[in-house]
Amino acid sequence: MAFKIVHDRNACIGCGACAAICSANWKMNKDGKSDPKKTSLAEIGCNQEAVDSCPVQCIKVQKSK
Amino acid sequence: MIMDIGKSLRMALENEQKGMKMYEGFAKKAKNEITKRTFRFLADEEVKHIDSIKEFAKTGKMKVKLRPITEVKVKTIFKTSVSHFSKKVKTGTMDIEAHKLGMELEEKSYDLYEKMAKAAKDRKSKEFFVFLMKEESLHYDLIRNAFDFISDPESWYAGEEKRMMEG
Repeated sequence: MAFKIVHDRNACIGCGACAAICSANWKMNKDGKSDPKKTSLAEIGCNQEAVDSCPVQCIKVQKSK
Repeated sequence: MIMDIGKSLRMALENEQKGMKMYEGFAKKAKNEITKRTFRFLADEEVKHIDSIKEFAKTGKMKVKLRPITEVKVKTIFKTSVSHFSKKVKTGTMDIEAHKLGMELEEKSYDLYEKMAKAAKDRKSKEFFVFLMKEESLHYDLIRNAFDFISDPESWYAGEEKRMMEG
């Protein structure tokens, strides 16, 4: 099973919750918004916590084959 | 900092809208009721600020209905939450991080409005940004208090008892 991270950057408000809770795969950028370090992952890791913590639901994790 | 009032108000509006979305989301996703109540209150506060900024941009006056939240009111809100929900506190990582991010936002907002107050050319604009600074400072205190409680309730109660004994 592999996982794909989908981030709606337009909806991101740059609160930093994902980067705080899942720094292994999320970082804050100079424009004040976050970005995933990797979008295709073999393991979900802490990305589900990033999804759960995002106050504007702009992060999704999709299962891919 | 050279900034015209229109640009300052636009930035202030964006800042408050960000805060509102962030606090609404945190309130919905929080694991415990104290966090939910704290962030629900703060989201409502940001809505009031948004209205007041729009009003100020339109008329150059502070909204008549808008009253600054007092320190007493902030303390009351938090103490009421604690007395209602202290036995049911379940704290998740997200709750802790939400408080840290909230404090960070309030600090940044305070700094932003301080710069705007200093840069303001007229008395009314200066007063408006000083008002927002005071509000952000009280919001910070509210989040800090809630953070201290959910991080370590026993120490929080011990501190409260000490404060009561000292009068």
